Order: sequence, then structure tokens, then C-alpha cells
Amino acid sequence: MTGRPPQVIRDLPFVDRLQRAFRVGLLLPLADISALALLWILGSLCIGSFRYGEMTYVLGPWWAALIVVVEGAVLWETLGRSFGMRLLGLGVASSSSPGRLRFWLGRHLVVLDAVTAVADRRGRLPCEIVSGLELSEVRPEQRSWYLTSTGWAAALLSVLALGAAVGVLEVNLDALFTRAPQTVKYWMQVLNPNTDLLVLGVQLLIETFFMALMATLFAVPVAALLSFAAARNLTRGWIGRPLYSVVRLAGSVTRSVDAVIWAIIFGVWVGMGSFAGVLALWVHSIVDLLKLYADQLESIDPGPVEAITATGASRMQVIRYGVVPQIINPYLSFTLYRWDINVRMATVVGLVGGGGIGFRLGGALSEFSFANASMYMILIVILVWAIDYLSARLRAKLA
Amino acid sequence: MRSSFRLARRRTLAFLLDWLSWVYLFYGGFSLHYLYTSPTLIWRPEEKFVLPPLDAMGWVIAVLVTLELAVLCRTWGISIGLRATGLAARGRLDAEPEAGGRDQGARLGFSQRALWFLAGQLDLVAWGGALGLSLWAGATVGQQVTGVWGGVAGVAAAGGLFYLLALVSSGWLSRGRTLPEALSGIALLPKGKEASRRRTWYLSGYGVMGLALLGLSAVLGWQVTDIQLGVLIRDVGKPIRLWRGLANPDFSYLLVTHPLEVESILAALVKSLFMALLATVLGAMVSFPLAFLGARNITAGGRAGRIMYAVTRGFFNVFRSIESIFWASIFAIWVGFGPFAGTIALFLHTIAALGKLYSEQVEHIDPGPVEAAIAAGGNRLQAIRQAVIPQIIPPFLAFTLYRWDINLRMATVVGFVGGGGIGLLLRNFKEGLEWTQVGAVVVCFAVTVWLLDFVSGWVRERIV
Repeated sequence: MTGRPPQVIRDLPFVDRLQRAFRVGLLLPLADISALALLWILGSLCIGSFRYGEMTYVLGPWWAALIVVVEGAVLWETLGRSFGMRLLGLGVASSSSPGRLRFWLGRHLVVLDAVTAVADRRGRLPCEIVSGLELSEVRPEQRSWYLTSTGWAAALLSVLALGAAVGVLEVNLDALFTRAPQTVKYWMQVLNPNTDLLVLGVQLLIETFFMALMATLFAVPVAALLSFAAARNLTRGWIGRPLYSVVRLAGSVTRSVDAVIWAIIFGVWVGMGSFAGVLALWVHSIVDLLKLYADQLESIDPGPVEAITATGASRMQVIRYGVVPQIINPYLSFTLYRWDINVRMATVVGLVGGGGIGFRLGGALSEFSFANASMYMILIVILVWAIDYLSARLRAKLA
Repeated sequence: MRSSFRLARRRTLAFLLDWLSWVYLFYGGFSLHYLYTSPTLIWRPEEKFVLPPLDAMGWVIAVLVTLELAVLCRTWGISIGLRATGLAARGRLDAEPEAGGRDQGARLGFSQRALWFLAGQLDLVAWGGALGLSLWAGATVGQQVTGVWGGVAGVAAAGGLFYLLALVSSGWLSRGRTLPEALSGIALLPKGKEASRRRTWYLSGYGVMGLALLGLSAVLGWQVTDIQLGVLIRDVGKPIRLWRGLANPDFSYLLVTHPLEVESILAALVKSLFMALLATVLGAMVSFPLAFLGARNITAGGRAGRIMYAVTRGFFNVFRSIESIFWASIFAIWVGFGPFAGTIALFLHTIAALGKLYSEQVEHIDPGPVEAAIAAGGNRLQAIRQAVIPQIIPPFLAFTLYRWDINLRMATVVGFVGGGGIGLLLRNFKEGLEWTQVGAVVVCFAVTVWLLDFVSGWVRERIV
């Protein structure tokens, strides 16, 4: 027996058939259809905004678009190596024209697709049964991107996306190049900052600085404690696993809610002012640090932990002597990084009611008093730059 | 000369750090006292500046006391400044520690230290004098120049003169030797490579000092940012309509335009996505060539290269610190309110932010392939094309995707001040107190951010 015979009849176990049905029967068409649908939507947005001046997501009747997209996906899979096939690492080994035709026809038995894959002993889809071709794992090929259909599709996608962006955003280069003179007045104000606000500005800057500091300071203990519950390698057993999932999910959901939105919520809750800003930054810092900390915990070296466990140490002792020494420097480094970000964000959060210099900057900007805004902006630049430098220097020392 | 300048700079920095820590402790403590004893207990910047109510003599004494404390700290080695600059006190005679031997600084006896402390009073006089002289010089210069720049010129003159005098007193022009050193025989010199005595950090002098600074900052910050936990707990029911709205988001305007708005939630979201996309792509295009000018290893060699480096990095640093809302307001006037203004604002910020990340990445490349390309007879451009670019493409792509993520979040803020998109919608709903609509916007936006975060994280994992 040398090598593998070309046609070997293998029965797939049920679980594998289920998995194959999911991959080939569901993920593959889903990937191709979404890619083509995205192309269609972007194309529609392009044509709609340039030709009719309105946002049109689907040009033409929706059923026509659906047919074109689905049929396009099937044709793509039949004739070449589609985006989904590349994504899943699949390919069709041989290529005879009648086989391809039968493959194409068989692909239309959509309803039966996944069902047959589970029911068939070898986990084949209907199109594979009728054509004798097989969607199998292939090695990734080394070809330049412009020789593949996926490469062309990606290029078309980029062009359409940029085109749609230009169309939808009402890009008006004409205004950019012809209406500059009307901003001269404001540029002059920007260049002549209102120095009467210097003392007030410095005080507000101190407030902003402390907002970032307090948010970071209070976020660290909470995030550090929670991070042990959010590290996969430290949470085991029937309490640990659900806890891990819950903490990670809650963190992920909370992280998607922007600090600005938290500032709005806390502004209503405790009243506008720097306290609301601190709370908004605090919530956002906790979830952001939680992710950084937990990822760091997951990548620790298991050696010391095992060694200390082997000596019969308790769980707390293992954490104290096996885990903490490995994470203390990265944790400090992340904290400094977060402090740096918080200083930047404190001004943004201030804008929507979080107090500090951001609130005044927002007020000055909404009144178009650029002399005031420019003074505040100069102070912010100095603070942000100083903290950025300091944080980078300290982090370089920790690394 | 050069090495004595470096040594003097380190000594100045060390002493300055110690002194400023004490000034901060003193001033912070005084402010706290003032805040706790004043009737309002609230930091109100508009009404008064919290300065300790001292007269002129009081200020002189305060400066002298803080300087004295800094000298004291330095003498007994419990100094943050020495720790940060890596200096240590050494007997001058055995300035070069024998190989493998312990740091001589550890062996200084009490009498030696006491002598050094007494000699250190000269430093105190020198620093106090330098401070007074430079303040006087700054005030004089500031009065000579009129207008806005008077203050700037005064501060610059005072700061520059003070720094120069401090450098001289730390031994810049005297080959690293100072008067206290000559008197006491102890000098501050760079620590040797050998392991110093390790003590648990919170028992060491700098640890205590650091904790004191942090503790004071926490208490001060508590006052300044007006933290009232009672309000937080008591008023949890105050935003009841907000909670209800967020819990019952009303998606009826997801596809249909609200009668008072210009677009539906979906349209605003799509606009924000495109704003972030266009700003990121254009920003990446501009910052890509700039990144090479801002990388030290590419611009090394030649004065022109170094100037280029400094200019590019300076541009990155300044523009990164300017808020995009500032640009958004200016461009809202320039090209009219709407997503285009927001896109330009995000674009300007993206250039600087990406430029810095890119150029740091270029600085961290493996120099091997570059040297090979140069050795094979390639010129600088060919070396960049063949040896640098292949190394940086994956991280650049990762940074760019990450930036798209951030830009989408920033698009909301930009929308608040006239950039259009989802931010404008959010602001209008919020100001109209239509909390169910706010809830819908928040949910839609969070889902989009989450999806983009997920996708870009997945792609980044694959390409890096």
C-alpha cells in the first residue's frame, strides 16, 4: 500500500457530517451571498447617490436583486474558487464540464442542501452527489491576488465602497477649494487666542487632569479583580466556566457603548459636571482594562503556576506567587496607557456634559468664538502631549 | 564637556523631580486645607483660584522649606528623582566600584551623609537664588514685550534662565564637579550595573513618596471632580425616563425618517460608517509616505534627515492632540454642515494618529534585510521598497483596521458639533428628550461598533 487510492469510500461519523453540513451547507453559501450582496448594496448606493441624489440600498426590485445575488454566488462557486471557498479553505479537485454543469444544477436544491449532508453516509451535498465532484480541503495556493476571482471581487468592493462613500457623504470638493476665504476671519481668531481665559483654562485643565486620574485610579482595582474571572486559563469547573462567559460577554457589550453615551446617561443621573465625566470614563476604563488585563492573564507562562501548585500551595498562594509576578508590569503598563487615553477622552466626554475643559471648548465652538476655543485647544494640546510623553517614557521603563 | 552636560542634566532633573514632588505635596495639602475649611467645599474655577493665602515672605519660606526637604530626601537616598534618573550617591574617592563589588553608595556612613547634607545647603542657596533671579528676569522680559506674547516670552525667559543656572550649579561647566562635592567628598554619579540592594518597594523611600503623591492626588481629585457617591446612589431613580427609554428602544424610525430629522437611523449609521471609512483610507494614504520621514532609522544620516524627522514627528504629536471636534467646527463653516465636514475632521486626526503608529512600526523593523539590500548595491528607495515594505504591510493593515474602529466611535462626537451622521441624530433626540429614540440609536450604534470590532479583531488576528 503506497499512497491513498483516489476513490476511497469513507463513512463520516454523525458529528462530522453535522459539522460538514454547517460548513459547506451553511457557511459557504452565506459567505458568498453576503459578499455579493455587499457588492450589490454598495453599487446601488453609488449609482443612487450619483445619479438620483438619494441613498438607495437596493436598486431595482428586491426580488431581482435577491435572484441575481444568489444565482451569482452559485455560479461563482461552480466556475471558480469563490470567496467563501477561500475563506473556508475549500476547493473542487477535478473539473470536467458535464460535472460542473451537474454541480451547478445540483446547487439549486437549496432546501435539501444541509439535510442531505447530514443524511448521506459520506456527508455529501446534493450537488456533490449528482456531479461526483467534491468540495474538499485544499492547500492554500500561492497566486498573485490579481489572478484570482476573489482578488478582483475585493478590488471591485474597495472601489465601490470608496465611490459610495464619496457619494453618500456629499463630498463637495468645490466648496473645499472655493469657500476657503470665508473662514479667514475664523483662522485669524484661532491664531489670536483669548489670553484672558488663561487662568480659568489652567484651572479647567487641572479639573480635566483629575477626571482622567480618578477614573483610571478607581477602574484599576475593579478591572484587576474581574480580570481573574475573565481569563480562560484560570476559570475552570462548573462555577468558573459560566462566570467566564458572563464576565466576557458583559464586558464586550459594555465596551461597545461609547464613553460619550455613558456621559449622557450619567449627565442625566448625577447632573452635568465633572462627576458625570469621571463616572463615564470609569465605566469605559473598567471594561477596556478588563479586556487588556484578561488577555494578558491568558498568555502567562503556565510553568510557574504548575510548579507552585505541585508544592501543595493553596489557590490564593498560587495566584500570589505564580501569577501576580508575571502580570504586574504589563498591568502597570496598560494602566498608564489607559490613563493617557483617559486624558484625551476626558475632553471629549466633557463636551457632552462631563465638565472640565471639554465642556467649555464645546461651548466656545458652538458659539463660533474661535479665539476662546483656540486658547482652550492650546492648553489641551500641552496637557495631552505632556501626559503622552510621560506615559510613553514610563512604559518604556516598565517594558 | 558633553558628558558633564549629560551628568548635570540628570542631576538637575533628579533635584527638580524631588523639589516638584514636595511642592506638589505642600501645595496640594494647603489646597485641601483650604477646601475643607471654606464653606462651600466645592471646586469652582469660575469664582476663585485655590491659592494658599500666603504673603510674599510666606512664599519665600515655602520655597525654601520645599527645597530643604528635597535636599534632605536626596541626602538619605529616599528620593524619587534619584530613582528615576538612575543616579546614586558615591564617595568620590571610590567613584569607580570594583568589579563585582557592591555599590559604594550603600556604605556611606551617617557622618558622611550629615556632612553632605550641610554642604547641600549650598545647592539650596543656589537653587533659591536661581529661582528668584529667573523670576525677576522673566517679569522684566514679560513687561518689555507687549500683548499676548509678553507672557510667553516672560515664561520662556524665566524657565530658560532657571534651567541654565540649575545646570551650572549641577556641574555643567566645572567638569561635573560641584561645590558640595568638593566640600563633602560625596558625588551623585550614575549607578553601576551591579545589582543594588533590593528592598520591597513600598518600604523604600521612593515607594513611600510615590504612595504619598498618589494618595494626595486621589484626595485632591475627589474634591476637584466633585465626587458625591451619595448623589449617585440617591438619584438612581432620577433618570427614570432615560432608563425606560433605554430598556424599550423604539425602532419605528430605523428605516423611516423622523418628521423632525433629516434621515433615518439606518441612513445616519451608514453615513457614519462611510465617514469613518473614507477618513481612514485617505488618512492611511497620506500617512504612509509620511511614516518613513518620521522614522529615525530611515532618516538617520545627514542633517536634512534629522530635521525632516523632527518636523514630521512634531506635526504628528501636535495634530494628534488637537481634537477632531475643533476641526469639525472649522470645516462645518468652510464646507457647510454635514458629513463631509466630519470626514475632513476625522481625516486630519487620522493622518497624525496613524502616522505615529506607522513610523514607530517602521522604527522597529529588522535591520537585516535593509543592510542586505544596501550591500547588494540598492539605493535607499530600493531598500525601502524591497526590504522595509514587506515587513510592515501586515502591521500597517492591522493598525488601519483598528483606526477604522476608533474613527467610527469618534464619528459620533464629531457629529455632535456639525459633522452629521449618527452623532447629530443622537444629539437631537437627546435634546428633544425622546429617550425611546435615544435607546434605539444607542442599541443600533452599539451593535454596529460591536460587529466592526469583532470583524476587525478577527481579521487582525489572521494577518498579524
